[in-house]
Amino acid sequence: MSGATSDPTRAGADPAARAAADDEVRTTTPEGLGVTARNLTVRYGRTVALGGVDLDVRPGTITGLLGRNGSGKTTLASVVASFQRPSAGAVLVGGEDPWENEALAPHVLLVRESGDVLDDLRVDENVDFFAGARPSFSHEVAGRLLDTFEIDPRTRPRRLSRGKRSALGITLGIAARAPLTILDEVHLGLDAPSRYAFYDALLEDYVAHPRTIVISSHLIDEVERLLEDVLVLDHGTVLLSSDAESLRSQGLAVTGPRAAVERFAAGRRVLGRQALGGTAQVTILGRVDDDAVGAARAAGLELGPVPLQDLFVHLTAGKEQR
Amino acid sequence: MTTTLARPAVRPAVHAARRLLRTLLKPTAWFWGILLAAVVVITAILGAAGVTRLSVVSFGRQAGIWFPFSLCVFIATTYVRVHIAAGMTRRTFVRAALAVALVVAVANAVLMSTLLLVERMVHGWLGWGWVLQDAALDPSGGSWPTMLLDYGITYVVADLCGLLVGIVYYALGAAKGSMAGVWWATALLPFAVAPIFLVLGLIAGVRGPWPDRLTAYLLPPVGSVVALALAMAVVVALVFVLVARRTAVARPAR
Repeated sequence: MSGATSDPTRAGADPAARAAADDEVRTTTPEGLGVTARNLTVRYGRTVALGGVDLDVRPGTITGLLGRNGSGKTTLASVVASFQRPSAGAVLVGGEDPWENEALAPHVLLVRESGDVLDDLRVDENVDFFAGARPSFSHEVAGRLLDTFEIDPRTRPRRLSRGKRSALGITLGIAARAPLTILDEVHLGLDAPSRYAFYDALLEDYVAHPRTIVISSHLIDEVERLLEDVLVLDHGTVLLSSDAESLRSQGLAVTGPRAAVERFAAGRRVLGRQALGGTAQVTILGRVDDDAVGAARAAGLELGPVPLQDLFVHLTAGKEQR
Repeated sequence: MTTTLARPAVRPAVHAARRLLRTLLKPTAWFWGILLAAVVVITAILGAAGVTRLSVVSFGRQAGIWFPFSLCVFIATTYVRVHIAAGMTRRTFVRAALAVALVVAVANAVLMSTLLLVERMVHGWLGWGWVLQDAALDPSGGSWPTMLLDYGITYVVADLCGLLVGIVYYALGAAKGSMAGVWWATALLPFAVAPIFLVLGLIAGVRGPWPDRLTAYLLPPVGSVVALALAMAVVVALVFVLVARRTAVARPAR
């Protein structure tokens, strides 16, 4: 991971060193900034939004930031993006405190629902404004996504529907190619085709230009194919932090004829159940030995990884019940 | 090679200042257009009515204070969120906002004082008289530099107060997340706009609206008025910086 060294660029530094640093910095773009939080606490009056959170986001990965309403996802994103200061504890981005960090600020991006744009400017003027502040901004990507989402560059954001505003935020967020990109519930208001166009565009640009992406979403079943790591917040604390593959291997999704599926599920811990006609699917938590797997396949059952959605519901509902 | 992050091609404060200036250009042009039209129409009406010694432009002084003041409130309340979301810091916002407020104030002062001179020339050409109705550092209105200084210090303080009012509303509203913040900001409003009235009072004091007994004691020379006004401008700017550098970014409107 690339870190930010700022000494040569500070005011008062040797002019030759600053000039050398200037030459250097314009040619260096990191492939992702990691996030570290230690004892991170944010309070709003008596309400504790984040209570002593310790977490790490690996650089160069797509991390799903999951949690129920009020779990602290937006607050965490706001602190990481320097939208607000924590009440206690520390957060580091690329090893540095992001608060008022001029070297880091252009490389940390938080896109919130409805976007943070200038309503009195046209869309293309907003694109130019954001491009001027983001060193890695791609006008080509922005133009392509505006076409994809059918947003007229000459219109003003205040005239856009909720879904189109979300799409504009997504456009700016992907086109910025910020080494740390946080997308907080940006899908709200988007119709299904637009959401899938967003996921495809994000993945395509991520593969071409690797960076750290954090996605906060309630649509877990839709975004889980993107996720490499998963971070689950619950009531202001970290409930789970893991790579997605490890999570998916904590159980099985079993699909097949209803009777065979139910026989297989008997005596096992079932997280979720779906049925359509004579076909059923159950999500089972826990390791299944090889013999049982073989028997299931022999019985015509399809076995797959555990859906994150089911695991998430199980984890957060379980915590609530405790 | 050390690994260092790339920078934007244009310094963020310059990028932000350009954006803010463009934002203010249109309403400011409208302001001057309306003011000019009003001056021409009212002067013509007054001339027809035989009132030929009155400076109509001098009545624009208050408009020149409060309209740019409201634009600065608008900047501070609406722009800071987008500025930070675009990847810039509060420090660059503060630099840009202060620079733009100063530029706009000085430009308005130059235009207003020049318009006064033009009006005086027109009155002279028409064979009319010309007298200022408002308090001024130079009540005769004869010295353009003094008029410029008069309008300049007033407008600078007014624009800075506009930024302060705006950022206080934004910061308290953002921090509280409810109407309570707005109520607190409203309660603080008199303190935030007081410097404007103090400067106007100081300028009026040059001519002496104070009771006779006080006038001899308080009557300040022009230099003292300017120094005090500039000191107030610095204090207002510092408070603006302190508030803006700490403010949290509120959620966007849904």
